[in-house]
Amino acid sequence: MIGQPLKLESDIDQVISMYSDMIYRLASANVASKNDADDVYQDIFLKYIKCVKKGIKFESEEHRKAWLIRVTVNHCKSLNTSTWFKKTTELDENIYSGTFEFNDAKIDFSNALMHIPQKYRSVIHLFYYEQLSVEQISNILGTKQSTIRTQLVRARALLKEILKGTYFDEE
Amino acid sequence: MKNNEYKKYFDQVSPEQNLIEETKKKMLDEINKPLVCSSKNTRVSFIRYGILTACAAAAAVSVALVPKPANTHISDSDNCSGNNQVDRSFTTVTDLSATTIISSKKTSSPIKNPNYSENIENTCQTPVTPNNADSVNDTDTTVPVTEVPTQSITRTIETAVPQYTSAPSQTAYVPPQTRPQTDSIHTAPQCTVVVTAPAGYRPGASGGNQEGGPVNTPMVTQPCCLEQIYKIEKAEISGIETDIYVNVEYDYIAPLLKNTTDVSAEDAAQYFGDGYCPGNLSNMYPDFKMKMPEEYGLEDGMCMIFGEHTGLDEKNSKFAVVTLSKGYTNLKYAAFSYKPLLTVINGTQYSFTALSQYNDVYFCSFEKNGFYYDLCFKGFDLDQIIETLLSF
Repeated sequence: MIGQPLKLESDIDQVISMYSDMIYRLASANVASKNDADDVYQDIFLKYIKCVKKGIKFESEEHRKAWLIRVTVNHCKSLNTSTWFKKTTELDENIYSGTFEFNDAKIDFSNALMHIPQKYRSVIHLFYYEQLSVEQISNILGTKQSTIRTQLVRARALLKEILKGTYFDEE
Repeated sequence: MKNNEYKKYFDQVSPEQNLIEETKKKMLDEINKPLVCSSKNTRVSFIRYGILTACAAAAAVSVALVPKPANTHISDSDNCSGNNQVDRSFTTVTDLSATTIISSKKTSSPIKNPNYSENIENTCQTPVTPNNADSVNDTDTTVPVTEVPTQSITRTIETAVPQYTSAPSQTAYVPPQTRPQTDSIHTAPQCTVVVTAPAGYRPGASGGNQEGGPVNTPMVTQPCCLEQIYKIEKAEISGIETDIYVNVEYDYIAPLLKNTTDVSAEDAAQYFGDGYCPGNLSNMYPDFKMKMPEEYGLEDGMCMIFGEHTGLDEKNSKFAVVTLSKGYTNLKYAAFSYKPLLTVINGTQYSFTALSQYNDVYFCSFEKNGFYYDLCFKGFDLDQIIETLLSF
């Protein structure tokens, strides 16, 4: 399917089944509410399909995955820096009421993540959830490896402070 | 707590099945659309045009609550030919101090109202223009509500002082016989920004490099059967300003000619399509419908574009609004907004849309306790709005 225009529903099914959770989770780690994550999720796949339609070819599955991650991160950045978000900061406490609910509600990573800078959220998520290496993250995000490492250290420190404990191994 | 807990946490995060299905459907739709040439990608805030004035007067709030069944949205509408599934008759917004609230119980199935089609058709054929305070007709404002075959509740917060009527008047909007020449259109003051086509964009007949050539899509030029809505008294310019502004994202903004009071779908297609994007608006939106501000008695106003081809998700309360403003010298501006502004207060999601920024009229919809509420606010005083919203 790589490099070929998507024409069949099965192709779409394949893309979605492969990357659906990844995109959604990455979006969830980067935006404040489920609704936003839903929006991002849908937008990313539409962007993807438009890209493929335009003839953009992915050299490999890794390339496609990297593209999706990069676009998702950028989209979340755009969303978080939009005028609307800037102008409604005083409603943050209410906005968070729309965050995800989990079985283990006491672990509120979502809130914690929202309290650290955007650039750290992506890095944390990619490193600890997607289990990408620093080098891979660096390539995907177009950032130096040293910067990624620094961001990881700082993000861990911030999360440690917010969550009142050590939550991430420094490995 | 170690790394695996973070993983376990996000393992629980998955897109809902309906979101996946919806995304698939949109992707399929996208595939089936012909390719279009790209357009510029610039966004502009309406603020750039100085719509916000420098007055911080407290805004009064007018609230018109609309009975609306479940799973429908204000943007949803069928053609005037009937077959509408719901009755979306609106009550009339009165003056700034008047607040009439009417709610209807959420319904899970389409309302079969024998009076509805006729009602809608009448609305369509007779654009409504507000009169002055002397021609108040309270009956008209309440009739639509009584037609809703669901239990209704009427509550008056303050004494309503209707200042206009929903009855057609002598000054009702009448489309001019002639339309501006194409040359004139293209010599109009330059559009400041042209931006990307919205989701659902389809190439038009007038574009230069789209595939498939001209598409003769039927255009709806008659006033559409949107809700019988927003018959707001021709409001004085309140000049209300706030930083917490309903800042709808404008993906399109383009000038319309001065004195062009008749902007049919065809005209708009020319303005937008020929002049500013490689398509044709009516082809982008086969179900394109438009209403002029005059029909609502506004200095500027709104109309809505909706339908599946807008790529806007009715279920998620997304709809397009066109705001037509003549607040500027020689120009009218038309702007498309795609996303109402969503915010969550105490667990309830509120969707804000600017109906008429020039007149400071905003729209807010939400669902609470099984009721759907549509409110019009005159002015955007956030404190007052929130207070009002929380009172429901």
